[in-house]
Amino acid sequence: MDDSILEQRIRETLEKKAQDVHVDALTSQRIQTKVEQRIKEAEHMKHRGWKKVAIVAAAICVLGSITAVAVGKPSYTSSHSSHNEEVKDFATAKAMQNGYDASVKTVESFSNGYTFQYAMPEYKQTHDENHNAMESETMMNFSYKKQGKKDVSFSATRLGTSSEIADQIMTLDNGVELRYRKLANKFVPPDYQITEAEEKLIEEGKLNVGYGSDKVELINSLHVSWVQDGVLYSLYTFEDSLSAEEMLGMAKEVAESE
Amino acid sequence: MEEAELVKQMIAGDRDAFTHIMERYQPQALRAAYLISGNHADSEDIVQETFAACFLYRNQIKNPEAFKGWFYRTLSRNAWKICRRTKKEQPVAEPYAGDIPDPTETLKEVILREEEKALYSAIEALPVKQRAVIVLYYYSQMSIKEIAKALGCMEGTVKSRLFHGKAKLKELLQESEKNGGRTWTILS
Repeated sequence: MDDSILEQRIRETLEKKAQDVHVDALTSQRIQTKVEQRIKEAEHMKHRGWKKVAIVAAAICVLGSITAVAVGKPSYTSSHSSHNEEVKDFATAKAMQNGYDASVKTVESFSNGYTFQYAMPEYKQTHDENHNAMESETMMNFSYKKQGKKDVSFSATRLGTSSEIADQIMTLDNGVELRYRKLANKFVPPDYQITEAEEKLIEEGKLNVGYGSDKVELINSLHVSWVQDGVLYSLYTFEDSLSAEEMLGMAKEVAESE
Repeated sequence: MEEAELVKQMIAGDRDAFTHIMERYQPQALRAAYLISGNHADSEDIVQETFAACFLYRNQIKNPEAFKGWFYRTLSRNAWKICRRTKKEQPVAEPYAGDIPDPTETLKEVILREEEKALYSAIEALPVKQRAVIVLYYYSQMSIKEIAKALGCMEGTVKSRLFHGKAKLKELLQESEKNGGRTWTILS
């Protein structure tokens, strides 16, 4: 068994296989446009908290995290929103949501003291693997506050599926399953080397790693997600002091609201 | 213009310099990403993420002369991340270029094509980190020292991944030889 023959064949095979990739002007242009778009989105997110976006994406199965490589199926989701469109009055926010999708449930306050702070529209678009736009939707993202605590955010979408991973599940009388999950989020510089232990936690869905931070930063987040009448709801916060029962209770109030 | 000069301009925020770098690196990067990930959709994602990171984190490029190493390190990280993400999904087998028979092929060419197919399947079956080292070494023609720098590991780790990668390839080829009942010239 001659190593030099094997090495020569590896080179030739890789070289030949690489010829499958045709880098024509159209491909180049598509990649460059997409890169520009990603840069623009990242710069935009710096102003609205990309860490929050990364956490939500990891906690619920937004399409970007379950890339299905099949023709005609959505491959990833892009979204944007702007604080310039912030609405501080619940009635107006509710009316705007009704205009987008009246079946989405919302509440003005929770029994544990969290109350509506503001809401803003989020524009979502799914794309296929060739980056063609497919479905789009607009939904309101709601934020709730409580004195001395970190905010709780609430969102709804028809362009996603619930994550199967859950630390605790509560089944309501109407059959809706509320799935609670506590997630450790590590924000790291782009050249950060993931350890074997971290890799294991990622595989188990217990750790979310977000690249792009200046320094290593650890943040826990709490999530409850559920699917009701074809809508994926998500309630999440960085407020570590809230218990699973409290988070599930808040979700229950939304799920059972009129 | 010299690459280091272009990189310096990009670090300073020059978008034209960044576009030049993208044009210069894109073909090789796309092919290396394809060989590591094994499919077109992922390779484009990997390259897009890598170029976007190039511009967004340009301030972290401390040595413009060593940009190639920084670039391939970021590309490898993105490849691992995207491969890990898609690993849990149903893989979509992409046909090997040599799958379509050419009626003018000689028997020797047919055998060679079959061998290449078996070898590529064996490379695809390697763990992603081992596959990345094989691609960077044999396809991108980077030295062990360059790969170690790019992947942020010791030269010994690269050597070990190469050694074990080749051993695994031989093993996989031997298995395929047994199952297919034919003798590969690579192994004889």
